[in-house]
Amino acid sequence: MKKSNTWQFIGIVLLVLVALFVVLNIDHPEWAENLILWRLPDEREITLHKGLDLGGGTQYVLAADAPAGEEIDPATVEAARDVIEARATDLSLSEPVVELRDSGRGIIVQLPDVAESGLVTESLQATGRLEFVNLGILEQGELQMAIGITIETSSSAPPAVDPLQPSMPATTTTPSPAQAPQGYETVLTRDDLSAAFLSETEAGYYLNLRFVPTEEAAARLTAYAQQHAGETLAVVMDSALIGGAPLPQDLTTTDSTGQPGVLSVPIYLLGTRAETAQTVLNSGSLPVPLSIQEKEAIGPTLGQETVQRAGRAALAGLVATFLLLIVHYRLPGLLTAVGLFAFALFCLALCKLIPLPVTMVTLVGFAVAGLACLSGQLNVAERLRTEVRLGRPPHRAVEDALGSASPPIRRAHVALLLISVALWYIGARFSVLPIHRMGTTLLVGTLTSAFVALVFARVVAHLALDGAQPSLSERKWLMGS
Amino acid sequence: MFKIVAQRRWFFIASGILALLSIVALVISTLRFGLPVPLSDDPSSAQAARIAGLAALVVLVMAPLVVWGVFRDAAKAAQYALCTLVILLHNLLVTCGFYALMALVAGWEVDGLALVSTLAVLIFSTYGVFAIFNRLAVNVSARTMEPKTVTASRAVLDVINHSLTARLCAAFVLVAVTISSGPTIRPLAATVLVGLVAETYASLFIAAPLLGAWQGSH
Repeated sequence: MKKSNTWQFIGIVLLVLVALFVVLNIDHPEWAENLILWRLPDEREITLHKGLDLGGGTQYVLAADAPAGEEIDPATVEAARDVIEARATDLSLSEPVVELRDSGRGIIVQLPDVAESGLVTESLQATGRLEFVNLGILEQGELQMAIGITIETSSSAPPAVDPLQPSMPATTTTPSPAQAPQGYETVLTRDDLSAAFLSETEAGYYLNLRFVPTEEAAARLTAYAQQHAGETLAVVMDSALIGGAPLPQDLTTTDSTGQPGVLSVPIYLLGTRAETAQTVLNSGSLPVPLSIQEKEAIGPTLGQETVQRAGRAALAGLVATFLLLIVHYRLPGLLTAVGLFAFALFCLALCKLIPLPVTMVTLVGFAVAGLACLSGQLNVAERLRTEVRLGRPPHRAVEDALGSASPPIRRAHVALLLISVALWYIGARFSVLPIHRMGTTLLVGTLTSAFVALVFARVVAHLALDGAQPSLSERKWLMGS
Repeated sequence: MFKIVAQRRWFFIASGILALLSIVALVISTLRFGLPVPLSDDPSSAQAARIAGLAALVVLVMAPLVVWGVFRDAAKAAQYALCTLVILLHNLLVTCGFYALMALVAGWEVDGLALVSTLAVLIFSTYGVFAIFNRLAVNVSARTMEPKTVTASRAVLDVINHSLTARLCAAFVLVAVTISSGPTIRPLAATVLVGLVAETYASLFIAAPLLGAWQGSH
C-alpha cells in the first residue's frame, strides 16, 4: 500500500475507533465529554437522546389555579398552552406533546426524559412575572448576596412561597411610607417591555437580561434614573430577586434613531436556576397560574412492542442486505457492507455528539442518506468488478473505478444537500419540527454518506486490494466473476 | 440488447395505468373524506400537511433546477429538468394514491410520519434520477454517432444492476418492518416501500426512455 494511503488508512482507523468509543453504551470519562466544545458546559454528555415516539418520557398534567366552579376563558388557557409549549420545546431536544385536556381547564405535557425533573417542574409551573424594582442604595456585593430571596413589590400579590423565607434586609435608605406597606417600588413590569430575553454573557458565567422598553416606558425610565441615580434597579421574577444594577444618572434608553434601544442588566443565576429562568422568561409569562396535578412515566408513543418489533425486523433486513451484497458482489460487496456499517456508526456517533434526538423522522432522514450511500458504493463496486475483470492491476482498478464513479456520486450528493438545506429552512421558518428535523438529519446523513462513499470506500478498497494481484488472478470468483 | 427505449410504449402504458388508478383513489378519497387523504385528529396535522405540501413543492421546483444546473453542459439540458419533474410528479402521485387507497381500505390517516415518508420518496427519487441521467449524459458525450434511443437503453443497462441491488437491499428492510411492526409504523414503512418501487420503475423504465426518445426525435 502506498505511503499516502497508509496515512489515510490510519486516519480512517482512528475515526472509526473514536466513533466506536462514542457509540458504546459506557460511562464516558469526563475529559472526553469536555471535548464537546460546541455545547454548554452543563450539557456536555455523550448520550443518545430518544424522542417520545421511540423512547417515551414523562407526562405532566397541569391545571389552572382558579377557584372551583370559576370559569376560565378558553382563550386564556390556549394562551397558557402556547407558553407551556414554548417552555416544553426549550426543555426537550425533540418535539414535546402539549395539548389541552378535554375539560379545557388543564394542559397535558409529554416530554422525553432529557431534562432534570426539578428543572421541568419549576419551568412548567413558574408564572414568569417580571418586574423591575427599586431596592435603594446597596453596598457592593449586597445584591449578589441577596439573590433568590423573596421580594414584596408594590405591584405584586403576596408570593405563594414559604413565609419563613427571609425577605430583603433593610437598606441604608429608609423606605418611604408609601413603599413599606406595599413592598418595594415597582418601576417597570413586563407590560412596559416590547421585548425581553435572557442570554449568556460573553464570559459564559452569568446571564444578561436584554430588554427593550416601550416608548413611554423608555421616557419614564430615563426620568426615573435621573431622580434615583445610584439606587439599585433590581430584576424580580415571580417575587424572587434574580439580578440588577445601579441606575446611572445619564441612562440612555434610545438608540441613534431615537427609538427605544436594547438595555442590559446582569442576572446572577447559575446552573439549573439559570436554565429555569431562561426557559421561563424567554417563553413569556403565563396568563393564568398553573400547577402540576399529575406526573407519570409513559412508554414510547408508537408503542413499546411496536418499536421493538420494528427494530428487530430492521436488523433482520440489514442482515439479509449484507448477505445479498456478499453473495452477489463477493469481495466488493463485502467492502460495501463495511462501508454501510461505517455509515451507520458515524451517524450514530454524530447523533450522540451534536446531539440529534433519535425519532422516527430522524431514522427516515438517515435511511434516505443511507440508501444514497449504498447506491454510490454499489456504483463503485460495479466499476471495480469490471476493471478487475479487464485485467487491470488492483491499485489501478480502484483508482479507475472511483474516478469514473465519483463525479455522479458528488453531483447527486450536492443535490441532496441543497434539498436538505431547503427543508431545514422551511421547517425552521414555519416551526414545523418534523420537516426541520428531516432537513437536519438529511444534511448530516448526506455529508456522512459522501464521506463514506468517496473517502472511506477508497481507503478500504486500497487496503483490501493493493498487493492482491496474484490472488485475484487465481481467484476471479472473489470479484464475482 | 434489450431495447428499452424502443419498447417504451408498454412502460408508459403501465405507468399511465398506475397513475390513473392513483388519481381514481384520490378522487374517491376526496369524495368520501373531503380531502385527498384524511388527516389524523391531531390538531397540528392540518398545518403540518400545509407545510409538507410547501416542502414537496420546494423539492419539485428545486430538483429540476439542480438537474438543469448540473447537466447544463449536456445537449438540451432543459429536457433533463423536465423529465425530472415528470418522474417526481409520477412518484408523488403513486405514493399519494397508495395512501388514499389504504385510507379507504384500512382507515389510514395522514400524520407527521406519513408526510415525512412522502417527502423521503420525493427526495430519493431525485437521487435515482440523477444516477440514470448522469449515465445517459456520459454515454451521449462518448457515443455521439449512436442513436439517442440506443444510448438511452445502454445507460439503463449500465446502471440497472447496482440500482436494483441497492433498492432490493432497502426493500428487505422495509418489507420486514412493514410485516412485523404495528399499526403506528406500518403505514410509514409501507408508503416508503411503495414509493421506492415506483421510483425504481420510473427512474429505470420511464426517465431514460422518455429522455432518450425526446432527444432522439429531434
